[in-house]
Amino acid sequence: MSVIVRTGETSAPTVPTRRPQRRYVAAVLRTPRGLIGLVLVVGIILVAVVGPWVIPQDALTQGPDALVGPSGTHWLGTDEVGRDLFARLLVGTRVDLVVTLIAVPISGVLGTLLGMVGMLNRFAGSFCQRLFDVLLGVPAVILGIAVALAVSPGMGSVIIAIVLVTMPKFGKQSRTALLGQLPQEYVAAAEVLGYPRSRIMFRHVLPNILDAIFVRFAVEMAQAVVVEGGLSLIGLGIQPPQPSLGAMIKSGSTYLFDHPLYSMAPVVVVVGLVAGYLLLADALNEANLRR
Amino acid sequence: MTTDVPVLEIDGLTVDIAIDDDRRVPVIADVALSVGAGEILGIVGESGSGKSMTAMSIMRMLPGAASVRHGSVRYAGRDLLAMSESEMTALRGEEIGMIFQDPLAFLNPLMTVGQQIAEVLVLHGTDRRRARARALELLRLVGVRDPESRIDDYPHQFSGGMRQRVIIAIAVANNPALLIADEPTTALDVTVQAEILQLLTRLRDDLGAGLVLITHDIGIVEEVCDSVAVMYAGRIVEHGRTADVLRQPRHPYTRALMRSTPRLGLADRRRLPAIPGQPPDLARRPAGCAFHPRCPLASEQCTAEEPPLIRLHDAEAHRVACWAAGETEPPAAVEVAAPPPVRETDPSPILEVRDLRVGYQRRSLLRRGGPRDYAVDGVDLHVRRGRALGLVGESGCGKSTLARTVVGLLTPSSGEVRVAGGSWTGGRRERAALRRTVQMVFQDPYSSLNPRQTIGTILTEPLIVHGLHRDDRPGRVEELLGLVGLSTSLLDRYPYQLSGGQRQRVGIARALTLEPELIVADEPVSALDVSVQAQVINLLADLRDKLGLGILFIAHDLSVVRHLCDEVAVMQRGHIVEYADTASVFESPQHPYTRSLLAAAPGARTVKEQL
Amino acid sequence: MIRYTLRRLTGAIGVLLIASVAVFALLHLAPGDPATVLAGPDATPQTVAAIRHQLGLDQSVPHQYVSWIGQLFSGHLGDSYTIHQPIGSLIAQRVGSTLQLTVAATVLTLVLGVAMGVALATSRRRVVTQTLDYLATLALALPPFVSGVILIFLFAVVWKVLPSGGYVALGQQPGEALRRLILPSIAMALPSAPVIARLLAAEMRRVAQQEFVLTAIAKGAGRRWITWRHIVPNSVGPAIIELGIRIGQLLGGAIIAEAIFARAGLGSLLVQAVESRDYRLAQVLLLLAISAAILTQLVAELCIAAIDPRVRVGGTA
Repeated sequence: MSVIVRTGETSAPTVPTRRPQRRYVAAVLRTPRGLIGLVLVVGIILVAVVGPWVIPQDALTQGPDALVGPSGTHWLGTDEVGRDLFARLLVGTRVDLVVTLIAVPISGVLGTLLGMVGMLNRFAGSFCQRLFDVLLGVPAVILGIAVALAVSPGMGSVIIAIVLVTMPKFGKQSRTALLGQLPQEYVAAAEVLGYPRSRIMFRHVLPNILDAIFVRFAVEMAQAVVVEGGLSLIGLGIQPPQPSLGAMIKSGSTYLFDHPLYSMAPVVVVVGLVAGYLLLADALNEANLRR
Repeated sequence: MTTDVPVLEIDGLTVDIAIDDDRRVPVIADVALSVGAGEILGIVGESGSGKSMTAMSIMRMLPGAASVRHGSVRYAGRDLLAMSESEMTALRGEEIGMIFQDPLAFLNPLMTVGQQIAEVLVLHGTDRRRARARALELLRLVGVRDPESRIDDYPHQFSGGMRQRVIIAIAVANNPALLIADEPTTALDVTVQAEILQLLTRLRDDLGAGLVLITHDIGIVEEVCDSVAVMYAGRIVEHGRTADVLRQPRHPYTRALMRSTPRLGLADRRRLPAIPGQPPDLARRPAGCAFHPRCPLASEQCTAEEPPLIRLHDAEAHRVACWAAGETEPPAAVEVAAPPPVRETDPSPILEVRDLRVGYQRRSLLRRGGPRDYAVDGVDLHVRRGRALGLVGESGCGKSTLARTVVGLLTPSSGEVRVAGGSWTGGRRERAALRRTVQMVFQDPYSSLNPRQTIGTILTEPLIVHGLHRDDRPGRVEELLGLVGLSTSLLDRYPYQLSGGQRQRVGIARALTLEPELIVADEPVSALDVSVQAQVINLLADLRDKLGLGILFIAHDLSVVRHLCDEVAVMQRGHIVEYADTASVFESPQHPYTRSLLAAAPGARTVKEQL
Repeated sequence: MIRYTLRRLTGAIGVLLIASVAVFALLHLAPGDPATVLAGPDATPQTVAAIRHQLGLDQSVPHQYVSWIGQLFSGHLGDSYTIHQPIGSLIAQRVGSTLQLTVAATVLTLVLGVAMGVALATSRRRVVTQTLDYLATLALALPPFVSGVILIFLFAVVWKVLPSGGYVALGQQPGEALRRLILPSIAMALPSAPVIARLLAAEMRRVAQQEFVLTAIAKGAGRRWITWRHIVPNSVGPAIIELGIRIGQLLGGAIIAEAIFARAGLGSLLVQAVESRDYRLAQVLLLLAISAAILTQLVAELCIAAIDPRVRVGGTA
């Protein structure tokens, strides 16, 4: 009975056991998911970073050969105004990476800290949670559009949008994890021993919730790629002539018949990044569960 | 009512379980038992003894990783292990009923109680209308008051004792011939426990069923069981009629278990006889007789060969598995009551609580009975230096709230708490000084230590925070470990690598780091095995005498406090109802609630007969 | 239950109010004077002043907010500044397309999600669970704008079976309308269905370990009985909440789907409004989208309360 198989763990302790950090990282990498995920993400990042220096073409120069197929000079062909697709792909990926790698860590740190602020001041804690609830109630794309309306669309608006979308997720997660840890007796013990609240928060509780935060981080990186792509696709994200993955997909969609590579190449990159991050998240989650 | 064929007969049952991908270890080996109609068999043991696994094997409800290696389990002559799954499904709930331990988790939260009782009837052929009527009857039978309105309530609307009655109703609904109860009263208060045990015996009389009662409490065995099997590390070590086994235990483990169980019947000793060491880990079972590392009578043979379970020549039904069965233990093994150490005749109080009222915290305490305004409602007590005060009460009485207020985790609504003259309401310096004066030992060995810190870090951190010089720290930590009887090799280990008893010792050591004068121990032994409990209680007694500590010892069980405490306070619904020295409380209790607590404690009947 | 509903309702209204303030503030967050922004770069000072007066921008900010809310409530949505039509009729024209898409995507998500979830949790054969798991991960990695393009490529370009976009009202030509719905709704459902499925499966696996399942086994219940009567009802909670959130997100996804599949709906209207800085129109649409999202989440929470008595009835435990 696969569903009703019991593992006999009905009396397992609520606090996880611990194994040293090194084995944790190795455990993550040992799974096929972890490995594939890591390869995908790191691979794409490397190519995007190194690429533009390797190829001679430039992403912005327009040229005479429009919509040409793959060739020796243009590895993926050209777009409708003769720009090299491969170069544009690389630059677009770079932009995406920059945006996501700025926005998500900021959200992560801010969100996690704000989620835990309830330990220091109960009022501030509830206030932040209400704020997060409001933000979470708004669909990501809508938030992005609203930000684009307020400040003109561009890299800045995309970063702000991602932060607004992502920070509440970290905040809620960190608060839930915090609430799970607070009743643990080691927290009360720390208080009775006279440790200052800040010490308890940072040295005791935070390390115990970091596992879940890492998984969330991987998931949100995937989400951030999607948000940036979506916004750029509808024209309210990265603005032309800056290349972006979303805009390329949109422009390319009109030429799907004759030049599918125009759209498909950025599609592959997006799928690769998102899948990579999600696989990593899965692997991290499994490693956490096994602790 | 006697029949020739026993209701249940287990023979040579061996079950093993897979830990890791390739290793299998035995959980129970060569278990042989029988239960006749109308007989109550108690299976008693500590963690790792295999008692629960045996129960699950009967029902063929073993966890996926476990499998039966060989043996037979016969119910009314039919081998349950040889049956098909559908035949077994037909028997479950119909002819064999099971009662579980923790009622809240064992009831579906989304279905009404009536629906859940009716379910077992419907599954075995009753139509819905009749099932509901019968459910009503059953609720009445098990003693649920006002069944007509309660039948449509949900499990979370019932108290623990009531929920357990529902579980029992489900188990007996189809008039089974065999009942299995796995620790049915462990999660309940003492007074409720007594009622449930009474209910079970009454049902046994009415139904004529055989009952297998799994427990870790020898007192319960004494109270209700006709026969008993003692299990240790997966094997039966002693088996026979309760009267025989408990009056003349032949196996050293049985004897030690009886002695180290804090019970009311034992003469008042300062020191509780403890079994050294702890119950073995399944994966690292000692060779030969599993008990030999802890046994005062262990010989060469015990380390090499597993003793078989054989009949004693002088008692037909009494069997023991021991190479040394029948030998009396050398005098050194039996703990003599040590004379109480010389102490100050009338020490000053270290803790004074006056007219304390503490309100309920949001989202926390259970509310018992009607709503009351205060968890702690006008309490006076004091603890003297070098003395221990036991604070006893059932869940919800407010004792934990009181404990947390004394250590400064909660703020009182009114009244006073003074520790060595200082109060938590004073200034920052006063409070900081108080932190060094009073410390706490917690209940749950799993959650009271930060899983991410090594033992060394856990013990050093208080010294860092309170400014002890770096060079002095290792010495102090070593000293602390010595005080609680732990080796310095544990410094680099993480909590998950330690046993429950070791973890509690670390918790005690941690509480001692700042050299407090008062220790508040909040149910420090409730989560430990009986044999380990005694070790910790003895440790606390030693520390009290050696360091002159005052101890406020919170417990839900009167018998536990008898061996450690000089005075006892009994708490009920936020009030202290009885407060006197230990001897007086146990020998001539004044308040009816105290009397009912004493009467309800398992084994109390024997005590009264002896008194 | 009533009290719980009221509490949740007031909570939702609160969130809505805050959101409306934020949406309202968007105009004032932009650098520069709102009237100038609205008037555009070529306007004369007189035009700007006229606009200022006409739109009530010379009044105090809180006053503007209140009158704006008041107008919305009484149905005066105003006129679009750039399209020169009443906002109300603009919405009415386009709502059909968006509604079609959202409903279709929701139904698909629900059906696919539940089916996959139950299959994942109950299947005995490892082959099935492994494949489903990989499929789920793959689907998760395909956001609508990506899957949309892939689907168009496969079904409209390579295999030429389905149209690549466009919108037809259900009332006019139901068959054609449905044909055009297939690809976009699949694209939108793709990332959401596996999330629901995995959540459901994970929850089912967790519930299967719960002790009351043991009680059911001890009663003599068979596997199917236990799965459907005990495990599933206790597992749907988190999935319902997630579904509520997802449906809200679908509204955002609809915007993207409309862009890719060339369907003229509320989403493309919104994008257009933002591009042309038509604040009035954009604000109304934004508020509409947010309200819809909050409403669906509220409904999800109420569903949970209807299922789980612990949420709606207090107890001693």
